[in-house]
Amino acid sequence: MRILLIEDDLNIGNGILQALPNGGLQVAWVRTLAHADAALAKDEFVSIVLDLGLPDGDGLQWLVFQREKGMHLPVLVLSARDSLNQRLLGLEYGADDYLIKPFALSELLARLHAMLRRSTGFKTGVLVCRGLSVNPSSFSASMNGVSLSLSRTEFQLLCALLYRVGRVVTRSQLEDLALVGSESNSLDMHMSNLRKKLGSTYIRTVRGVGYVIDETLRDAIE
Amino acid sequence: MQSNKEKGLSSRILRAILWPREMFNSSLVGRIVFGQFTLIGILIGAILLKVFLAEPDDVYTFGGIQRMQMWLHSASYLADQPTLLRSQLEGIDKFLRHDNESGDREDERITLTLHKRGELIYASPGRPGAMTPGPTGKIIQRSQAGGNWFVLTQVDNSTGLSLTLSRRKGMLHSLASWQGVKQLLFFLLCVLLLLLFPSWLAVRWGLRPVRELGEQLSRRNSSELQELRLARRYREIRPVEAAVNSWLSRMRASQRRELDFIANAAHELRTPLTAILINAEALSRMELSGSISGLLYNLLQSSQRANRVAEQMLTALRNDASADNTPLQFVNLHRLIEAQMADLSLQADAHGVHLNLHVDNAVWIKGNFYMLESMAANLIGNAIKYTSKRGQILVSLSQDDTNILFEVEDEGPGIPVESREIVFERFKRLSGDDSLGSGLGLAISKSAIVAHGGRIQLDSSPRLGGLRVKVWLPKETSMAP
Repeated sequence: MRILLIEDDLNIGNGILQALPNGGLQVAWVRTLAHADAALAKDEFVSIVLDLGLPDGDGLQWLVFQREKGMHLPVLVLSARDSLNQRLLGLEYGADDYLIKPFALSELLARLHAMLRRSTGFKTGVLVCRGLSVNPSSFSASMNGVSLSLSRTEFQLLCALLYRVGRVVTRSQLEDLALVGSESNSLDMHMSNLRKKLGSTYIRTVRGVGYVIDETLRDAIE
Repeated sequence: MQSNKEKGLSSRILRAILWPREMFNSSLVGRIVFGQFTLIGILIGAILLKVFLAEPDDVYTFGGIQRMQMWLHSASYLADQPTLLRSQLEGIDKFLRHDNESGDREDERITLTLHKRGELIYASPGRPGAMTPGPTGKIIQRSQAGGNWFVLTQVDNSTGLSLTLSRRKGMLHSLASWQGVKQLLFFLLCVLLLLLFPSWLAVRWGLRPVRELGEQLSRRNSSELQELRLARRYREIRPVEAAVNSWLSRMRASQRRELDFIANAAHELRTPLTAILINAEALSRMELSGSISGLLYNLLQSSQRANRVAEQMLTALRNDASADNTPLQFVNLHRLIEAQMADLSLQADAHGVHLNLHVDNAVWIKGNFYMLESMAANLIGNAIKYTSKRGQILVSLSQDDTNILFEVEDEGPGIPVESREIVFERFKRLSGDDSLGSGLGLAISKSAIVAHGGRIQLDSSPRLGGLRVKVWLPKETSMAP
């Protein structure tokens, strides 16, 4: 799996170049948009990590241009700009995720993996995590090969959590997604049903805040 | 408060009466009223002086030339009947000496002298006695009988009679009497006193734009540097307005430069800081000897802390900037805190800390989204930072009719009572605090809370034993627009 890293800072580029292969990813590193164009034309990549302030142009404009040309690779934007407007722009302009400098390497790796998993899920149509596999288009789900029977709401809630593995999805977001117009405690009811079917440790609760499916099972601390 | 103010005003008036100079030196209204009254006083004084010192140098001093000619004419009819002539002149004398209420006064009376071809026919009794005729129709002065006299003579050529009128030269002769002068003075004094209040009102009214200018300026807080806009631009105020505006624009420019500089500096720090972090982290993933990985750990810690300071500086700057030019919006505080806690749950997981949120209902506030977000992120982030592994953090949000109460409780070491004020100062760290905080978090939170008209209080959590942060926010904030 090759990733195209577009970053003009020597030290950041070198650091990522050294570290990512340890995480199971190959990196092609370019320092200008012109070289990025050349690399995209020549090689196959699974995703792009894009810095915004580049010597030969603005990364966002380049991204918009690439999207118009039909480039569909998932793009993670790195930015030293931090205002919320620009965050939104990053997503509006076709970025799939963003990281604001300074960021930790582990954060970059986690975001990259999550992004790749999502894009793989979209490609194959199946979301897979910790023995669970879910096919959103056929409304089918199975745990360790055993098929699960889920209600429509439960299925929607599960998909919402799986799309954002490793990150807490807030109660408000889940209610907006799956329970429009329902009472707040009905979310608890649906989640409790879902957990019964998945096993109590599969979905972790952050009390009052939301729910999360961790990539790997955490030690139960409670 | 009101009675205090009145007391202040009355004591000021009393002081002003007892010791007026103080008022002239402390009040512009006082100065102008004083100036006005000095002017009126000088005017009245000048009029009085003119009246007192005026010399009867025209014929009206003697009651007019026509009256005199009439007397001379009637005297010339009786020129050959001395007895009748005499009694008629005595009659005139009598009229002259008793035509005013104060009676006959030497200072004021007019004295008659009648000559026929140089021969004295009649002279009024008393001083100055017979007066030698002067040039015809012209007032002259003459000393006689121990006084100075004005003298006017008219001659009837056909009979050779010459009538000479004289009047004492001296003060007050134009006025009816000294008593009249006293009455006039009293009247003028009353007018002066009655004028004092309307004049004070008028001057105060006239100076109101100055007061309004001051009020406009004093209502501003230190970050409001936009131009002054006065409803009416009076010619006298314009230079002040222009000077203040030019000063404000210089302040704005320098503030902008300062903000740009700090923002650029923090921005420029981010790229190298990222490089340090990434390389140190990449290194820490390799197999290293114990001492090297220890050193690397220190390096990572310090660079994380430097990152945090740069981030917080940017947050503080962004809050300052958005406080001035972001319109207030209705913010769902419940969602905001929920989203912040979801973001922070990564950090909480890394610390092994459990987050709990309790909210009764949807809580809305009218305010500045970014500031509220930075407040929640900082307060909850602090709680995570200071709570040890397997600890709990309780966040709750409740409201009554007017206020919203936001509480964050943790299981950390808390803050000693004596330090609960100074922790809000920028870059203040308590001794023994080895966390990676920037020292700006609480200052940022407090400034966001204060900007919303709320307050923050630190005490200890009765449930968890650590710190409890209580934040009250009014639902309808009175934030500066």
